[in-house]
Amino acid sequence: MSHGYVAIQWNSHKRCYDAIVASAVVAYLGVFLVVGKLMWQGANAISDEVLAIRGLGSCAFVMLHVVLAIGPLARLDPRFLPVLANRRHLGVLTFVVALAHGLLSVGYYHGFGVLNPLLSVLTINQNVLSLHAFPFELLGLLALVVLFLLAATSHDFWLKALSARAWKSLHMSVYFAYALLVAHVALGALQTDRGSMLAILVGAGLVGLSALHVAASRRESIRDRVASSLTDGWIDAGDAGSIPENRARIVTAPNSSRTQVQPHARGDVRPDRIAVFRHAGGFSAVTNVCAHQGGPLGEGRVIDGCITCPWHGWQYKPADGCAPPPFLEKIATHQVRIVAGRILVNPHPLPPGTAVTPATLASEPKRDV
Amino acid sequence: MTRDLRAIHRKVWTVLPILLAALLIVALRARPSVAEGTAPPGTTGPEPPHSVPAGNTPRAPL
Repeated sequence: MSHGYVAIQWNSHKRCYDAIVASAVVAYLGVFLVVGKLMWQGANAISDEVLAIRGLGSCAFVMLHVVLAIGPLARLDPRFLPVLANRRHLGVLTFVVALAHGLLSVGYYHGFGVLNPLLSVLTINQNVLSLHAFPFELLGLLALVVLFLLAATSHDFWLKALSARAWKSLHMSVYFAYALLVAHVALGALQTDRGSMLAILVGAGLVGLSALHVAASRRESIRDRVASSLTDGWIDAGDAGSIPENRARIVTAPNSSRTQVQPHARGDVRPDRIAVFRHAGGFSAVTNVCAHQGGPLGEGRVIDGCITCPWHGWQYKPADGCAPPPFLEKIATHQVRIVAGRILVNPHPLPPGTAVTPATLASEPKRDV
Repeated sequence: MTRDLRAIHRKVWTVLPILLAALLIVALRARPSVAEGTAPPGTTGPEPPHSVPAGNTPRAPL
């Protein structure tokens, strides 16, 4: 369910996105083949098959960098959010390109002997203690298995079947695949490359990705620290007039083990970020975590009376956290009150779908004079 | 993301770059010197040292 979502069918945005990505892959491979032919000539000339193997491998590696960069870029700049919404398609295509690289490599280097090609890859090189002669193909094969697992479970069916939390945890193994591929390149192609360009490119990719992730993470950490002030056990979410209509402010529920907040009477709660929305003159607070993929609801806005997740457009009503009919998803809500013009939020979440009357400036308790 | 997944993410991107940078440095140092001669100076060599078994000789470069 989502805002403007067309069930089952491909919509025009996704078709356009896929066409652009597929064209970019074809263009990359074309340029690589042409440049490769020009670069490796004479005594250094390489066959078309090897050129294709290198082109596909480097293309998949570049695509994985793009996949991994989209998340932090979207956190640092909302203009990247549309790309984030289609990231799974790019991930699946990355797997397809990597698979083509793997199949061509195995077929070319291991497909003309007496051994089964896959058995040959798995068993023939046992120099695991040698850096120079390490069986780097195995690292690539393992990364391919991880990418296959992620591509195969990328559909929303698996998201629902596994639960958002388990699915997200599983898909964080893309970092493991990335580490395997860096090792695959470092112990494979880098061992024969006499120049320094490949090493520089791999290093730059690693530094760039790391910088993006650290910057995005640091920005969120700073926001979390700032937002944790409490008033009588309630979170002070700031001045009521400072939140624009149909927008939200994200505040962080303090960790109960580090603060004066008493554990909630309902027992196990997991304090987290809260999105405080202003809509139709009232203030409502819900968890900042979308039930779909954990998207930051507070970075979205209210569309057609519903909080709309910026990642994939899933929607919830501000007052009770319920998705509009016929959808059934629910998210946790929080009590809100306004005191002296400031929004106060109860850090303890109510059960998903619990209706809470939006706080208004008119409902603010009058002070005794 | 929930708080615990964010914490995992933060730890991953604290440790992973250090490990991979170390791996890159070690791998670069492990490269055979030109004097050991697996490829002519300044070239990439025609073929990578794939673990091709005897009898599984790949097709000759075209």
